[in-house]
Amino acid sequence: MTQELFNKTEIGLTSIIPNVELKGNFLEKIRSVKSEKPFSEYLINFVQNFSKRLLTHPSIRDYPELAVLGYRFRKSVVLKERESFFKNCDTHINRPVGLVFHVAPSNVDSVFLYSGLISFLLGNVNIIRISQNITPQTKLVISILRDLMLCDDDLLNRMIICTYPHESKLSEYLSLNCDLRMVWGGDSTINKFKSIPTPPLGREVNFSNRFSFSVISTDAVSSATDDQVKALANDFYNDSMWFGQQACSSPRAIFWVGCGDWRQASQRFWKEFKAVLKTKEYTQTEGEAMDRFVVSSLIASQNKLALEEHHSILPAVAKQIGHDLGEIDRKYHCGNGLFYEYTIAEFSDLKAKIQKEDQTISFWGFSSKEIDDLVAILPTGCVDRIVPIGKSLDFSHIWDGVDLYDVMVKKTSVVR
Amino acid sequence: MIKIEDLVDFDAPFSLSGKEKDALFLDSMNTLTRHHSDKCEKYRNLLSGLGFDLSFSKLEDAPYIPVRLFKHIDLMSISRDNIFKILTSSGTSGTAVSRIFLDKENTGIQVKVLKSIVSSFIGKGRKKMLVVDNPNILTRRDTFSARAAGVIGFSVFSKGVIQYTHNQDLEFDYESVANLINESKESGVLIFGFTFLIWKLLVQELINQNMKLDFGKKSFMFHGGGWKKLEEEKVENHLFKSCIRDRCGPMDIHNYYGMVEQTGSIFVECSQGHLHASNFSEVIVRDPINFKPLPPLSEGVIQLLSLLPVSYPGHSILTEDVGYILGKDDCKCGMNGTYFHVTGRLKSAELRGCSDTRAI
Repeated sequence: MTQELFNKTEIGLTSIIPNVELKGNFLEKIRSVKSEKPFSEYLINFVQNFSKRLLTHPSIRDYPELAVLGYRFRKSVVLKERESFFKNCDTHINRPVGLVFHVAPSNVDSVFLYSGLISFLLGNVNIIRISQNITPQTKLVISILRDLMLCDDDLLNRMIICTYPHESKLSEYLSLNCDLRMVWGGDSTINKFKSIPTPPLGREVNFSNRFSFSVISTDAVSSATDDQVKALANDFYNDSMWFGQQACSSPRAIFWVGCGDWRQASQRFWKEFKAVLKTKEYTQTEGEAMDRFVVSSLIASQNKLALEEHHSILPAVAKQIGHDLGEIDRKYHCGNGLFYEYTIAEFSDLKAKIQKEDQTISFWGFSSKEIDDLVAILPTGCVDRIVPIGKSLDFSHIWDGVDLYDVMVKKTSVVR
Repeated sequence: MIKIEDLVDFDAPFSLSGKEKDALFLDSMNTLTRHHSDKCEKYRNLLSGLGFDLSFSKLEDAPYIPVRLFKHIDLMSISRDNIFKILTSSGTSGTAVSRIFLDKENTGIQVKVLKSIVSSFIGKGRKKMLVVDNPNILTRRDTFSARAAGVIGFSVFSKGVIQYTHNQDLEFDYESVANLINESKESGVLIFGFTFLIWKLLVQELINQNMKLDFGKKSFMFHGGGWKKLEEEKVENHLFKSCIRDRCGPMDIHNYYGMVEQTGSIFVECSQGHLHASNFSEVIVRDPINFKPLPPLSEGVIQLLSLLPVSYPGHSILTEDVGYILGKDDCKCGMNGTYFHVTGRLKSAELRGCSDTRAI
């Protein structure tokens, strides 16, 4: 029934890569592409070339987040992953799952390539819908991909990158015809897609809104050298500001842990953080500044926020002493350099404050033993990652508890 | 509480200049800020949370709140029992709309001020009114859409029943419009509508039909609601006006700028093509990143001050519109007050973040 809605000639898609209008039964053409085994030489070669081109691009210095992407797909890293991928394959064979329809987020420009390239490496064919709001970063990676794919029809059919309005019928068409739909979304995007069916055998993976925060040892900051605090501020800057604090693993709150003088530690930390903002010449857009003002106002109106300085100064640091991280604080926080600060005596005080949506806890100044204590208090089903500050944005194939190498393959059991 | 009637001459809404107006606004803004802080807990929390001072000696230091806040929370300085009317902004489906809570008194003063401002352009005599729209916009009684609110606001200038260019089936009603023109040869017609609708439903319609209507020299047109859609079609004010005069006759055309958060104290385009603040309102332009006030001719985000909002804390709002001040009290049109231009919307506000996809 729904299939009939899509008269073959009606559905057309002007993709960015390849730069053509796809019409009619273009999905059949894509599906008929020569099958490749996961991590075949051919696939690895392409990813290598991409990584190399990206890392040697003259503008890469301006976009450290893209350099991280490039490093993530270096040959040595990919080969290592191949090795672990083929471990424990005695009882089954990992084969491509087929056609993967990716819906990329708008806030983190390059994420579509992390899951896209992993899916590509596994031999899947991919259609990636990116945000209509195309940033210079996205433009850069697209230009590199385009160059590399230009003279290879096979490649062009393995990774189609497109954008179209959200309300387009294309979302239904692609959902109905894919084998796996992967939505990196805000909750509203995910809910929209949940109402659009995939085939009965189709898989769905959704990455929803998350919240992340840091825990810092008050005593460790107090007794640290200036250089150590500078390094901490620098790492925290990378974690929080690379994507304008909009990534779901960017810390939005800091818990100062310990009984020492947290105010002094906090002051020392933010002083260095501001110095980093200055040296990195961090700038905000008008829209980001307004968004931060709106959210600060909203939260302040609920008596949940007292900014340390004038509301236009970045970062906006809100001392939340005596308050808990409430629903409003979480729901309306939309990045752009707004940080909540709390203080707790020990990790066990954190237990009641952690919620299902909490994804990454980044830490600084704790021993391995202390991190064990943190792990021990985590409520059931909460928190996906605990990483040192500086590693919040590191992409792993295990994301939000989902192993991409697992969900993007068809495991065929073979009993001989 | 302040009584606007005691402060401002309603017969001369563009009379105040320089120090006189500064003193009035400094005093009134202090009073209003204290009033809302007393009566509206959320507003009080907000001021203290963001570090605003309750009293200030420079107008630019008056606390301001983001206009978008009215979309997220109910802000009022009256008890719910005294709500007389709730105004809502127009919003596309799915997006939040502003909710503005008015008591009887505030509703009355809005009408009075609008009358005062518009009358200073069209005179006190009423004219037959033609709305470029269809009458269906008024039938939804549960909420007031901005389109309906505009019509109802301007209806006080209408002599007799309001006429619409389009009928309920959304067809241009040439017969009624022609009759209206005939009946109003002596007095002229007051034409009202959203800028974009006037362009689409009136100008383009007449061009497509290759027709002209002569409303006569005594007619007035008031239009507002933003230029965004027209900019996309590369139509600016000058072209807009000349096309109207070409198709509808040499009438007096005034763009107005206002928002549901400050209904009544609208800004009207003068004979020189500039928007003017009246005695009831003031404009400050701020740097869009650090919110510091900017001197004339520098483009920034527009803050609007109005003496009217008593039942809700909307007397000082930071809009998401961008523009620049041209000057004060020295416009060639002869009217006093700050005069300015609105050049567009703040870039990408509300696009990224909060409601959009957010992953990794």
